[in-house]
Amino acid sequence: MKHNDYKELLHLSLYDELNEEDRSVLDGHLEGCAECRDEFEELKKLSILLSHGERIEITDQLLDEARRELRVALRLENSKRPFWAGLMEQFDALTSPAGRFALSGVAMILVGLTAGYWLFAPSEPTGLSGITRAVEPSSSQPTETKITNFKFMGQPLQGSDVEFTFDMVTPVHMKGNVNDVAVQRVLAQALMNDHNPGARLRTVSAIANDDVALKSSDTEIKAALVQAVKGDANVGVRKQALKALQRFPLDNEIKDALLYVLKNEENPGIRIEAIAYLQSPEFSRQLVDQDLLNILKEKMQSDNNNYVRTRVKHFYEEVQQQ
Amino acid sequence: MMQDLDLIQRAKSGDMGAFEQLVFRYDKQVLTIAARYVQSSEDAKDIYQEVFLRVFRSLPRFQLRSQFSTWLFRITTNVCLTHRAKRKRHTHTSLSQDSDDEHGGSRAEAISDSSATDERAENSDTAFHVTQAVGTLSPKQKMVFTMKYYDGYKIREIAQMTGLNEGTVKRYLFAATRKVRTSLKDLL
Ligand SMILES: [Zn+2]
Repeated sequence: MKHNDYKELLHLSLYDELNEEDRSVLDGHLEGCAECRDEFEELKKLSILLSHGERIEITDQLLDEARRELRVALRLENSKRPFWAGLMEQFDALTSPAGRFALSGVAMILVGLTAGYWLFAPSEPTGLSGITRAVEPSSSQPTETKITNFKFMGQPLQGSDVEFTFDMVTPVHMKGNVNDVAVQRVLAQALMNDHNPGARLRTVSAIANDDVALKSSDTEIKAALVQAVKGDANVGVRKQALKALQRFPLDNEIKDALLYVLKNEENPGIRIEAIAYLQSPEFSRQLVDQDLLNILKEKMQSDNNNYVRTRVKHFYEEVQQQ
Repeated sequence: MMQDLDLIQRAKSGDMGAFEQLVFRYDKQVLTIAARYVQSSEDAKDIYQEVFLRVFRSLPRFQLRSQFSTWLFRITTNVCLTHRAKRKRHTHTSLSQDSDDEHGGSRAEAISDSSATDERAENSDTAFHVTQAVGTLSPKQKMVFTMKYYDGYKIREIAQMTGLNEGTVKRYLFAATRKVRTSLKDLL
């Protein structure tokens, strides 16, 4: 054993984490080594000094406060209404200046993006995920609405009845909190469908730059982010999307996306972000599979970036030890 | 007494009372870890709330075969680490970017310089210096350090609670001790 090995034992002894065997080894060495004895004395002093450190007292009062605040937060959480309720309420507020939109028949919005889909009654809404809703043929149209993609349905109907579909696209101004599910859905759509990289970048930055963690159940926005991370043509969008993805708990889906990035992303900075995210404390054994090991192994040998190789190797070893 | 898993199952089906019971089993521990880490009761309450909201939100995904407390503490340490990153947004602390590097060195020296001019510090002064010294640690170093020295967890427990392996925990712990010791060398 070398000096340094004994130093490690000294530390462990200080933490009271030495087993019997190591303890007697250490005691034996201490008898003959003045330097280690001095070191040990100093570590003991340090330990005493540290015991004088300030510690926040966890009083019952503090705990009670925390519990009370949590209860309020949970009640809020529980009262979050389904997506439609929130969206329609926002819509309501926006359209209150007289008659801009007849909500009786309930029309549909899709927000400054060009991707609005309204489906015609009585068919079921099946268009873009969730942001569709039946429209009464009689409902009055706002003047700004454009009608596109007009199509007659296949089977001719009897008499003078006709059946057709079209898309109505209406610019809508929407203002809301980025943690609102309704807002998130719209952002997700923007991220997937907007052709302007600047708009996508702003969208994904809005999602990334918030302190509140997202729920795993916000699958729509998660899926949009995963798609952007993997395939957006703009490097800035991919980078921000990866950052935004970190607001979700690390699960298999995200892990797969990160591995995809590690394997296919050409920008080394983004690959490094991906590996850093994988290495977070949230990473658990359950996420380890053959695929992960294979990709890590391949990247630690053949990534063209030295730092990436080092990081991957480090992580690979951590995973192996688990 | 009801098992965690029974409570989780009931909470999953919307029983808020069961969820609360589950919270009460571990919440003091969560609050303590947070408070020792951030050294502020307000921040600690924020972390506490975020932890349990995350737990609540991800409950539907929680797999009954895993250990609830392990999962909970992993969330706790992770929220602690990101909490700090948020307050110091401009420095861009990525979760695992901090290794045992030297970037705390200059600050550590500054602290020991100032303490050298003080005559032997009184207790409250000592406390202040210790806190300052601990404050120079990187987030992960600080996490394992406070869990060890202030909360008294075993290395094995810290590994489980943070999801790091034991070797890594030791590495952080040694590095942290080394750094703190350098910062405090004039008090020793
Ligand atoms: Zn020796």
